[in-house]
Amino acid sequence: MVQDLPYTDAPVRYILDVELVSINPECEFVAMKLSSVSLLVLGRFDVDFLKEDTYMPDLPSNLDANLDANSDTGVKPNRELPPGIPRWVKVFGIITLILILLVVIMIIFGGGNHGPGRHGQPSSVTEQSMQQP
Amino acid sequence: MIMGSRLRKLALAAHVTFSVGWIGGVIGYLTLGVAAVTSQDLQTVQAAWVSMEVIGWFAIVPLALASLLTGLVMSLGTKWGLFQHYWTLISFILTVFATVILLLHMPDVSLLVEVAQAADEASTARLGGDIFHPGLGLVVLLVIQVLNMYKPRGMTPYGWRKEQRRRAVS
Repeated sequence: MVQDLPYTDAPVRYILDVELVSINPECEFVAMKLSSVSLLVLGRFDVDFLKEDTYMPDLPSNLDANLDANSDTGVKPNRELPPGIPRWVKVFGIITLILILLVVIMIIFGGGNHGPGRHGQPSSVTEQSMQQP
Repeated sequence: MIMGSRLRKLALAAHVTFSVGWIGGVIGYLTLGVAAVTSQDLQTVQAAWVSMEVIGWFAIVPLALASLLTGLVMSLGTKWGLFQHYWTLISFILTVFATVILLLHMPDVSLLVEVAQAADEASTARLGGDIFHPGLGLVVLLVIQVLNMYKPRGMTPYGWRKEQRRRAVS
């Protein structure tokens, strides 16, 4: 039985009955490990043939964990260093910082007015109304 | 504690319901906010503000709190965790941010309702509406939704260490 774990649009991991079958998209290699018999396949190939209708969208995969690899292949698992920050997180952070800066600039040049009733109109009656006893 | 399949699906259904309801409530609020800005009719503006207050306090705020709570249950009750993947962490931060801004914003809305009810025809055009906050809030909620749907890869150093420990034990 083959189960497809979450990242279906970028196939990265599949589980056979006994062990993981993983693809690391950065290193572009596929590792297969079946019980006590290990098999490592290097190179790119389409793994769609492994899919079945057992999609489990709410379970995490070990996508970022380094793959187990057979020592005979010379590929050693890198368990010492944590993964770096993904590119999408960096882009997201930069966009967020820019938006925060824009909001701060808007508040500063808006004279500090920030609440409801102060947007969408060049001037507001609310301040005058609020100041009335 | 990892939830079982049935409980997980129940929690997921609740979380999706509350989250989508939150988005729907904000869209309704934003629509009324636009109406309050664009309308020249006093009764329309006053009705819009009263409706915004009711939707805000009795629909959006409860849905936001329920969404935050069920989101915590979903993250802590599944193997995703709250701090192990960037997408769960960012979703949590954005949800807390949106909820806090909402709770800080709603008292101002209640205040503006009183102002709108006391306004006359002459001041209606200058009363203004509420577009910025619900607009920004809607963008934040849609970003959270996209993150939750796509679950972009990326494990935090904490999640990586936890995964390493789990692998070492097993």
